[in-house]
Amino acid sequence: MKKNVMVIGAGGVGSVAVHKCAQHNEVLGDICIASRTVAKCEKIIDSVHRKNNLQDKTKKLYAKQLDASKSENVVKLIEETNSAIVINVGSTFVNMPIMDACLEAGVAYIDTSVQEDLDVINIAYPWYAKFEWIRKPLFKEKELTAILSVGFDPGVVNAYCAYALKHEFDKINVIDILDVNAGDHGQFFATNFDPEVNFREIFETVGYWEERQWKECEHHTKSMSYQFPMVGEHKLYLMGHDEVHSLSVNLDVDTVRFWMGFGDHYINCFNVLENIGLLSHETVKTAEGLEVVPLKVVKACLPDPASLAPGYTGKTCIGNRITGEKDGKEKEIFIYNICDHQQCYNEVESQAISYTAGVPAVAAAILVANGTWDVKTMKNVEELDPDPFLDLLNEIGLPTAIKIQKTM
Amino acid sequence: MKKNVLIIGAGGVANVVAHKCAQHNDLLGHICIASRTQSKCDAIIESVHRKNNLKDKGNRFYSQQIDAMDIPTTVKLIKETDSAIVINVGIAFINMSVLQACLETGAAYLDTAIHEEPDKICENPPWYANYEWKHLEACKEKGLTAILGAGFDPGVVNAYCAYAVKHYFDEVDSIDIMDVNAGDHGKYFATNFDPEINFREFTGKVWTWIDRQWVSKPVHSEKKNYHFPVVGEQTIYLTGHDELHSLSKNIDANSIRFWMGFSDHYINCFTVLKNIGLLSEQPVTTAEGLEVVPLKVVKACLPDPASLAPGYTGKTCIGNLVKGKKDGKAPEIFIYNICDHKKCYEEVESQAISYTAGVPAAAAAILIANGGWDVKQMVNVEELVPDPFINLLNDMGLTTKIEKT
Repeated sequence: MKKNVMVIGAGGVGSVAVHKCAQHNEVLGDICIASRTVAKCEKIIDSVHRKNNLQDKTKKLYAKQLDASKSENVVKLIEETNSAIVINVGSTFVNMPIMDACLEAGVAYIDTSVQEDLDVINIAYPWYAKFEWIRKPLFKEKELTAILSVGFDPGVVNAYCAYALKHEFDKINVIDILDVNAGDHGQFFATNFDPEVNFREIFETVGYWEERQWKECEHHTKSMSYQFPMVGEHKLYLMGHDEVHSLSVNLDVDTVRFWMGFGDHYINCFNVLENIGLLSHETVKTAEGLEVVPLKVVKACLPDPASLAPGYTGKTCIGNRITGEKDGKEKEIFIYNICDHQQCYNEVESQAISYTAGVPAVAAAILVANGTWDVKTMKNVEELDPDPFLDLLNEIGLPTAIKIQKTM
Repeated sequence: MKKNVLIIGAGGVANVVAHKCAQHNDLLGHICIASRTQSKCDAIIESVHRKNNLKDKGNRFYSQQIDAMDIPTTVKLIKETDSAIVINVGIAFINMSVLQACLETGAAYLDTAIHEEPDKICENPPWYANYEWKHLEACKEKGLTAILGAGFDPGVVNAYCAYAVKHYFDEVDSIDIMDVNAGDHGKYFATNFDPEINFREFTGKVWTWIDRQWVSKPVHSEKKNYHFPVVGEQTIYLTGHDELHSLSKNIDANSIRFWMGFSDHYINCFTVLKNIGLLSEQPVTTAEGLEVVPLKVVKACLPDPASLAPGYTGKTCIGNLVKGKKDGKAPEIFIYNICDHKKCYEEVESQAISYTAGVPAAAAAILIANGGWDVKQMVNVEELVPDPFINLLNDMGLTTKIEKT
């Protein structure tokens, strides 16, 4: 049994992860939350106490200041806190120093998205090859567990693929991952997580795996409509996304695509900002001679994503539409989760976007702690047994449902 | 005869003023262009030579560097250049400093837009009472000629009001000033003059003069379609504008409104920027701790208005729809000008928005120089005799037409 967890990052997902770890601290032991800004960690701890989410009051829940961009700082804090598992939900630009620190300190590593390079947009496919997978032999050699990208998407949707292959199909042809937020935050325009990361994801060239090869298109040029359970019909746009980059390698399938729902209003605002140049990372100079990055000013003008949670209503639906064959017949299923913004807020004071990303990371930590997923090498989620993971998620707030669309 | 002109500012309007003054420098004498950035003045001088617009080659035509917020420096420059007329076409924040320098030196003052303070948007009406008219007494006492708002709108449209009252009406009921740009600059989104000033016009509330009272309405909340001569049907929005704030005092009419044409695309871009907070003049702090005014960043991202001129096509139409009574009847006139972007570029390397604002200022300077408008006090354009101004503009590139119904 591995004991003691360090959560790195004190944003929306960090908050959910800490709440959920606290609810299960009889398994996970002492919990340390570390971030550049220790005050944000303290706020999360206050929130955990306010919602009475600390299960075992004899275990420690505490905050530490940490600059995670330097590996040696992380190693030192892992040793100080005697942590056996690191859940990294900080900025995706600092995944590698944290991963390297886990290698050095000999502890398990968990994150929720692929490493990004601040200066490089549109890195080579598959994305995991550049930073994560080149470290795989090191984890194997040291018999250390690293579970990559175990949020919802990527994460649970990868497990949905493994589950489908194990229980529903003999052969899978096409996987379409569909992510729609049918919630309403009541603001004119806002992003649900860090605008810098959010916009980056959108204006990148769309890379997708179709007919066993990488294809590309410009953002928001391919769309479809889908009738979702509970939340109804939504328009979705083809997007580049982390999970496509591991599923295309680890699964024997023709096509893996990721689609995200966007309202016309969101796209209109995004287009105006982009076309005027306000989403640019390149410095501009004002008439007064001040040098400034427009995107950072847009970020400063937009609502803080964390501030959206209290008034958020509606639901998210994220799932996989999978087509393939079973017993010689064609088959299509939709395997999905519905998550309610308001319920998330009532439980952990976050909205559903953060909730769906944070809960799976903690479920993975519990499975690493109890040995079920302590695989002593680096894995993406689809390479692991999906059953214990989905069973645990059913119990801790993210139930899975399956709709059999047709069997011909 | 007043001689020698100092032009302050080196933007699009200043470029037009410089070209037009140069075309008439036999009357105006030496011409100096001064701005914070002297290289912009020199670019204008090159343009004037390129278009061969300097009429009397014996008179000087040159540039100086100046911070026009600094009154003593401006006083010194007026004296050094021996200027009798200052045409202020710099940013609207400097107006009162420049006026003060004119009061100290006795040089006549001309501008094309109302004074603004950087941190205040849409103050209480009438706007001229907040800054300009506080100097009415001082100008009168010193016998200083100061002509306020002598561009097209405000400016020519004020003269159109005076002209209508003088020649067409016994009694005026309503004046609707309508300004449409039916041109195309080919960019995704751009403003035709300084975005900072342009957006400020639409971010506050709309003050309008209805039934002899100030009425405040939300921005872009009222619109109508109007069929214009030459440029056809256009959608125009009720907008707050400088001229209402002097016409309401000086013209005996029940209602005076200002309408500006906007395309749906412009309104959409504007609405997105405004609602996100990017048009705010109040600083925000970035995650990295940098304090910055969003509007200034938007300005830095948008095309430089001067850069639009070469490819601009189409026409502007600006005019007044005046209704009232004459000899027991109820006539209606539309008095207007049509201006072609491309023709402006060919003549002075500017687009029509800058041209229509700059030419009237140069015309007013000529009328001050020859004594016609040298009234030795502070006035708005509608207080002056309109005929010589409108006649001069007919000769200088801005032809007035009248449609009667």
